[in-house]
Amino acid sequence: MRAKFRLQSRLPRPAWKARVEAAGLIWHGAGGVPYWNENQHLVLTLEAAEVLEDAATALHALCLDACEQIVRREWWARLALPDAAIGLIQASWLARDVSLYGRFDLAWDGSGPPKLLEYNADTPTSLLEAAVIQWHWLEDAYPECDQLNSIHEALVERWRAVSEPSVHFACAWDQLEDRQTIAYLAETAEQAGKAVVLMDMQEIGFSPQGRFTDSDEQPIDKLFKLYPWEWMAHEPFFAEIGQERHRFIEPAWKMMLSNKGLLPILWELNPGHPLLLPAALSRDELCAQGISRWVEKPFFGREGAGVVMLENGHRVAEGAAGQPGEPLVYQQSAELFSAERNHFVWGLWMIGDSCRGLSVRGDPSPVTGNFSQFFPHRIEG
Amino acid sequence: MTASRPTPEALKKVEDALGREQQLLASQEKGVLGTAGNPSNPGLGFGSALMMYWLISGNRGSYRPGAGFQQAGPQAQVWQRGIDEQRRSVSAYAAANPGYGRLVAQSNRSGTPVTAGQSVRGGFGASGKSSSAT
Repeated sequence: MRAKFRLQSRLPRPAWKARVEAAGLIWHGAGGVPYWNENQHLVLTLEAAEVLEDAATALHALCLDACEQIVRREWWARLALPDAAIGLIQASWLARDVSLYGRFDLAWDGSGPPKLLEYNADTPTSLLEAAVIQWHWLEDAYPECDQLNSIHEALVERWRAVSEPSVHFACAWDQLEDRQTIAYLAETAEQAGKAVVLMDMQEIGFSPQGRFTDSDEQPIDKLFKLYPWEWMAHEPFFAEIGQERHRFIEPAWKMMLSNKGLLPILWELNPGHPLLLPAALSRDELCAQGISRWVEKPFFGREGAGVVMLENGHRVAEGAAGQPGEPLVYQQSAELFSAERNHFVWGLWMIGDSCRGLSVRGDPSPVTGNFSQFFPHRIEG
Repeated sequence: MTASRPTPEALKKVEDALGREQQLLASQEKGVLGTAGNPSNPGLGFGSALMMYWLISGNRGSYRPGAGFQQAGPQAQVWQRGIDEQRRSVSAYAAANPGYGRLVAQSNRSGTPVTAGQSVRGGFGASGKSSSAT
């Protein structure tokens, strides 16, 4: 029987660095370790790609249902959200403020169904390489093959559904990857006919008329912010969002999803679901279920920071240092696909409510971190 | 032009309405002057009552004002002052934009003065020392 997927080597394309840089990926060599892996890629069967796509679609539905339950049952404390954010989240959810995108991280070694590791629903990055760079790679290297990837078209489509004619894009300007991500997103918005402005989060102003403004004192009609809501919740302008709530993308209700506190809630609402891993707010609760291998994750961790993997109480792997004192979630360990000393995590891209792309990150550690490499993929008919 | 001559019944109604208005205002005298424009207020509004007072003022010869009218005249100026004061306070509140005022004060405290009429800046972004990537 043919394997569902495999890691395959291939000679790099001539002048591949210039090619990826021309497309906008200029952080392909973070810390001396190549971020973009030109030498190896994942090959999937069509069936395997469909399994991943269907899993993401089903998980998205579970997540939306979880949001509804969180709002109805007022499970705010379980998400460790600040009180000041609750009204905003409720209003945003009830008004169904528009969401643009998100990325599920799944574990799947090919045996059994994929399992949800987390949902990066607020500020997912690696978008440019998922949408464009790996597509260029496919066109250059395997033009006869396909890829689970219509992210670019879906984003343009999604922007067309936004009624405002102009969109501002903001991020922490010093962060190259973030800046590049908003530059790419702005391009998709432009292709949808929007006027776009890129800016630093710190440039955002608040006018005497109660509107958020850009540095030219122009009111911001729609703001895509690649900046986590949980950071904004502790900053001075947060208290003034009020009626301006609907102008933000991602919307405030994404705070319920981009939060590891969601994992125990999903498990509680859907016990034994094949796409979920047992998760709890205490290690004892997990141990009581006979689980001896688990991962501890901070509620608001990023890129593996603060993640610790344990087996029978012993640390077997860990990510970069996290924030001390942050609440933790305990989730059963999942089997990742491993090949040639790398562990792989599948990233499934949701644009609106549809799964429109796949990206793969690999790392010698089972904890995916900031320097985990990006591997392109192709689907073999 | 023939002067209008309201019937005694009509005049009684006006007098009763003013009496009720008087009672209501007297009961809310302590600091609450904002009921004049309250749509949930029963009976005639103060403005309507004054209009009727003016309309019938040419017919006083055939009319003996009751307690309502007797008190309305001297108190009208006081009521008007209260209403004007309330209007000023509301418009000042709206113009100030308390959120904006709060942020201006914060900004000034942090040593970044804000130009009058301009946006306050720097209220987002201070946490962005690391990448927001997930």
